[in-house]
Amino acid sequence: MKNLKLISLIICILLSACSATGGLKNTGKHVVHRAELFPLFDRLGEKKEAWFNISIQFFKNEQSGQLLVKQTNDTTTLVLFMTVVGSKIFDFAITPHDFQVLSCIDPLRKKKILRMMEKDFRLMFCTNVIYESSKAFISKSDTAIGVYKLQVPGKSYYWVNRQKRVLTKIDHHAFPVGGARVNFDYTDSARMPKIHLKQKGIKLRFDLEPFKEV
Amino acid sequence: MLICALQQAGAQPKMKPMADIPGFKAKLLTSTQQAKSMESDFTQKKFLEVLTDPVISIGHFCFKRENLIRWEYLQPNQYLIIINNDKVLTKNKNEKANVIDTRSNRLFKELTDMMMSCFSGNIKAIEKKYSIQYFEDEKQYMTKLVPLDKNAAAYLKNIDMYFDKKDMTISKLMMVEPSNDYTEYNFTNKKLNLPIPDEKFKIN
Repeated sequence: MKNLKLISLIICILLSACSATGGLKNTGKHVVHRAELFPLFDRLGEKKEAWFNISIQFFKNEQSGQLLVKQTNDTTTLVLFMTVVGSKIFDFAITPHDFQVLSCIDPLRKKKILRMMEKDFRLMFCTNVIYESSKAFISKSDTAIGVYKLQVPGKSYYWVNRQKRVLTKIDHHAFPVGGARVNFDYTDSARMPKIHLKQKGIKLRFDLEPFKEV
Repeated sequence: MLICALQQAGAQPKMKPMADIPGFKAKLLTSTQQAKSMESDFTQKKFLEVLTDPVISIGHFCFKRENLIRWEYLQPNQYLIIINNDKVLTKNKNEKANVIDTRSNRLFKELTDMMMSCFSGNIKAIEKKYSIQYFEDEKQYMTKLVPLDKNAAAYLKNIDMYFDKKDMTISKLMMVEPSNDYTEYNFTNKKLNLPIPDEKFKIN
């Protein structure tokens, strides 16, 4: 009996240490407002667009180029990838409830690949939640770090640094397996961060670094 | 669409059909046979329907006979492309060198084949893959290439090549996509037949 209690205690400690929000206080269910997540689009400036150097690693293959992210209206985000020499690889229009392939080279024009890219870009640029003014959630927070758990679908944990007013991490869990983790790396909290997305379960990785146009 | 159409229209100001096509072909062949190498600066402008301003990159370009090209982007990003016959090396400032086959990127292969044919004056090779229309104005010749292959046409609507009448070197290249988005490459500060070490085109 003693052993059983000890094992239960160890399991509880391990689960708590492994949880996405380990060490933070659960403050219960609240309503989250869009601005609390410090979405990247608030940094786009007047042009409502940003350019990134992008590197996509899929198993042993790697493709690098330039990625344009542009908000064309209140609900539509355009994501366009082209090689350094100017060849367009794909061009997607993403809204909260729709994903439109405007152009895409044949090798990538496959349902599974497109679905995966849709999920990843939605996650990186918060197109699932960004246009919602409020949403039910459970918050766990201390004064500086806030973690918001949203159903988007699947479970997603949004980590924000309230002092620096930045979104720092998104941890997405898909059922039964999979998901992705996105890290935002800020050299200047007023500008776009470097973005790193790593898929769980498959060897797919996106690395984005913002650059200034000529 | 309108902006794009206007940009497209503006790309060929006052060009008229070429008067002497055999003469142009002969001049191109002669000049390219005399040219052992070319160096130049280049400006790449990507025109996208969704953007009011083009995306600009600048860099340095080297060509050496027979099939060697060094394409070095300097701003806004450093990126190096070396074409050494069938092999292509790509490298950015953070990345280790990556060697690829031009056949893995259709558009890139079209571009490199086109550059090679252009620098070797091999219009016959181009005619096998494209229907060609010939234009000129006071300063330039222009060939408009429309791909014959359906697969190529899915990626490329046409390629416009501009040659300087003074020395028959390429001055501008435009690659137009079916969506009418297009990439323009302008070559400036051209230097012909200067020695370029083979090291510059080395692929390990």
